[in-house]
Amino acid sequence: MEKILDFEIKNIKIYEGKKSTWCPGCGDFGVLTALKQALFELGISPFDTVIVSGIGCSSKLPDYINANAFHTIHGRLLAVATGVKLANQKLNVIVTGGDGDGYGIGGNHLIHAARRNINIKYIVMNNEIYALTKGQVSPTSPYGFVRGTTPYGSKDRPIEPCLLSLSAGATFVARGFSGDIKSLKEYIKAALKHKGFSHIDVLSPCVTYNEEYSYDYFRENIELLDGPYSSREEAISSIINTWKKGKIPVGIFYIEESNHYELSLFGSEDYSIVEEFKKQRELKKEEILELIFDKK
Amino acid sequence: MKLSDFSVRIAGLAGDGSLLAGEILAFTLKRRGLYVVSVKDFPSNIRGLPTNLTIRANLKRIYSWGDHIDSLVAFEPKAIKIHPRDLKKGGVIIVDEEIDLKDIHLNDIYIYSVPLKKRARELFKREIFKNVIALGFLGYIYSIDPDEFKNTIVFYLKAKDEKIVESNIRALTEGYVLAEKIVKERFQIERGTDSGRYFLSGNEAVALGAIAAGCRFFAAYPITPSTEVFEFLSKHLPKYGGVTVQGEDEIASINMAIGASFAGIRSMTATSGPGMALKVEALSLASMAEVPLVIYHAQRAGPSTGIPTKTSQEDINHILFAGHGDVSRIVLVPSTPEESFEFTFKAFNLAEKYQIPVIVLSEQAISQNQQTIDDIPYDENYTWERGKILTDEMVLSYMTNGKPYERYEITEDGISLRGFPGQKGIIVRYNSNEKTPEGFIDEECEYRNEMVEKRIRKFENIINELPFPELYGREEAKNVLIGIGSSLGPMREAVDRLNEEKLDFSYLRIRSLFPLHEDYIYSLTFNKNVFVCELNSFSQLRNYLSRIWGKKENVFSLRKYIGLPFKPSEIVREIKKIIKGEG
Ligand SMILES: Cc1ncc(C[n+]2csc(CCOP(=O)(O)OP(=O)(O)O)c2C)c(N)n1
Ligand code: SF4
Repeated sequence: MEKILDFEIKNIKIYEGKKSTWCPGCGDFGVLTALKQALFELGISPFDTVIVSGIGCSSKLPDYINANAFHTIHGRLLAVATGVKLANQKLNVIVTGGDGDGYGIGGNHLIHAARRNINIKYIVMNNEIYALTKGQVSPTSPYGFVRGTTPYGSKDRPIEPCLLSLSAGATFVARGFSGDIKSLKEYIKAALKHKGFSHIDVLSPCVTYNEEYSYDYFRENIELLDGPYSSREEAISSIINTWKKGKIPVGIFYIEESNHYELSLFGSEDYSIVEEFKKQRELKKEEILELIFDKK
Repeated sequence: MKLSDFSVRIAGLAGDGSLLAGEILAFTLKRRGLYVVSVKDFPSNIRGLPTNLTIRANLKRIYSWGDHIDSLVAFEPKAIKIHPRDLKKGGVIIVDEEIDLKDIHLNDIYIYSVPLKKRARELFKREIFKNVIALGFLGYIYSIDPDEFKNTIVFYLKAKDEKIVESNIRALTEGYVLAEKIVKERFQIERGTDSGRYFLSGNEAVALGAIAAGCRFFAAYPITPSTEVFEFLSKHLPKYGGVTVQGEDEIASINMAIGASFAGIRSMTATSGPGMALKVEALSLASMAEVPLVIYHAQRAGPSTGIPTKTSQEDINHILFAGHGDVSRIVLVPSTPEESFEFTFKAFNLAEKYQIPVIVLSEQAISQNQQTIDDIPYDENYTWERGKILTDEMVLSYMTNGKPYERYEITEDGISLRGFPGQKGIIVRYNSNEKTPEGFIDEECEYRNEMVEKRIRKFENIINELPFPELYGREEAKNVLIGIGSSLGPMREAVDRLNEEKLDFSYLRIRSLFPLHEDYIYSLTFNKNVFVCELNSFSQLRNYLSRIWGKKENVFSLRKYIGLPFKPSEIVREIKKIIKGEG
């Protein structure tokens, strides 16, 4: 890892993290590359960036990039990231995880992060499988999928994560494919520039446990929509119509400019509780007692 | 006759206004210079079920609601069936005249059947004012100057409409008028001096302690009996630049608090049993990732949803052992509003110094009940001790000396320097997996032993910083009561009564459950009879302490699990039974 002494970002190598332990060919490499390139092209400093992840193969991503990181617990990454962002709005908070992590155990947090419209970028490496636990079905696996825990075929119907976040209120929703790093990088850049909750679902093949959903399969079946659409309804119906045709919609589906959570809370985009706290001193006794004057 | 220890119970249905009347009375007595303890006994329901409030006042500082009441105000029929058994001889009952007294036969009790509701309807067209009419009636019996009440009413309701204040004063006066006509015997309550005391609940004290300690982020999910902390902080934290968030559930809330702490601010979450059950995975995360975190836990009766509004000490096992893996934690147990403040403040310092979660374990009887306290224990010694944190100036040396910053550096005292994301020049890596000193996943388990031992080493010094057990009575006393939390008052009064009967007792109140002052507890209880008082059925505290004692003879367990704190008489009675059984 290169030692950074100046803050100028002259070389993409400054984002270089540890050598990865992903299987050769894993789709997550594409996401990692696209993310590094997006950060580099926008000149975002690793020092100002925090990557929060959950648990899963995909969630190991923070180890492989040079930025502040918190590798948390399964499914809770958005909650931890919410605390980070509220504490210090100036940090560029990126959340990365898998489909099991984010749509299964952590599904509730996705809904609420979206409805709060907190200014966090959420990239989900969707391989339609639980990989780290060796290949069980995930909430995005298709009906009838046969795996170790579903020997007679999964009886659960899959969810469409982008429809979920769109209906919950996310103000930036996209789907990329890790076999198309160039487009994915552009989506990530757009998300990084967006002020609000940004959700990017990335089709990211697991070459070890999910042969059905290979690079070739996605290449043949994805359809690029001509978003972003001007309304949530239009985005939702275009996604549904594409699925109906048997195609997987990709592209940026929706972008909406509206106040994000921190702005509503603090009234400013510059405010940081961390910085404010640094300036504070212990309170005087009278100041504390003032709070309970009606108890005297 | 002058009463120096005075208790009243106001009983009605939820929504009857008993609590407001009680608060006005309590505050009036407090301003009269008396120490007041109030105990709310209410259902988890908004309207229609029995609710009562007991107020006890004394010239001396008291910590429990005692055994008996001097008078009972009853607005509903059930109250007149249950509560009179707590009345003292010569006590008073003020009951609404619409309640049938046919089957009620009480000796040595003054019963006044008063048209409370009727007069409220006639005067205000609203029955709710019956509570303040009753207060006036009570005020006459106990010779309280109406002006004392009026001052409290004005003070309490001043934010409200002028008209409401006026109506309440009219209702109060009506109570005095009604009483003058029928009251046969009057009493007097002592008067002391109130040099600026406060009337505070444990929850309010915790919130205040958090603000004083510099807590600037709070995330929680509402749950009785901890919610007042959330409400208090939501009102006040923004003034100090902080924020509160209502998470989508307990899991989200604790993880948000962990995220905020990682980013560099002091943060806290508050909960009760069911909520704590959900937070456990994240408690383990905080321990593993070495994130400073304060968790306030106010116990209620369980298991499961149990009785949300009643007290218990049923979560001792849970709090001591919750978490998968060897989870480090500190557990502090306050008994009073003062300690709720003090321990919360301390919790933030300990959390940052040792970079571990600190749990302040309270219970409903402390968190939701108010007491008169002399003062908030706060002086120049209350400083923010932030432990080993990396200042921006220190970052420069990392940048120039070529050594990378290691979040989990292996150190002698087990504590590594805490840097924060956003400090330009260093990269901060936190990890819930076992890790390398730099914070990368340690896939080869190269550092496993060193990391485990580093986390254990933190405990070498912690014990010296924790609240020491409180001994009341003689160190040599042959018999010791042991308890925590709300058992303070009842144990103290029980010890006094037992000693009056020459039974030679002291009590030991444990104030930090983990780590525990084992040596002291062992030596103090050596060769003695030990009685462990606790509000649960599993003898959780006794069993925990037995680790120190082994198979000690003469350890007795006094348990109560109805949802209310001990009464001193219950402790005395049980102990005498045990002693007799032995002898
Ligand atoms: C609370 C909890 N439950 C279960 C696990 C086990 N677990 C680890 S990763 C994982 C699923 C990972 O799947 P996904 O999020 O899709 O990530 P991938 O490995 O496919 O990238 C599970 C169930 C865990 N670590 N924590
Ligand atoms: S198991 Fe699948 S998801 Fe995990 S690293 Fe290998 S290819 Fe990637």
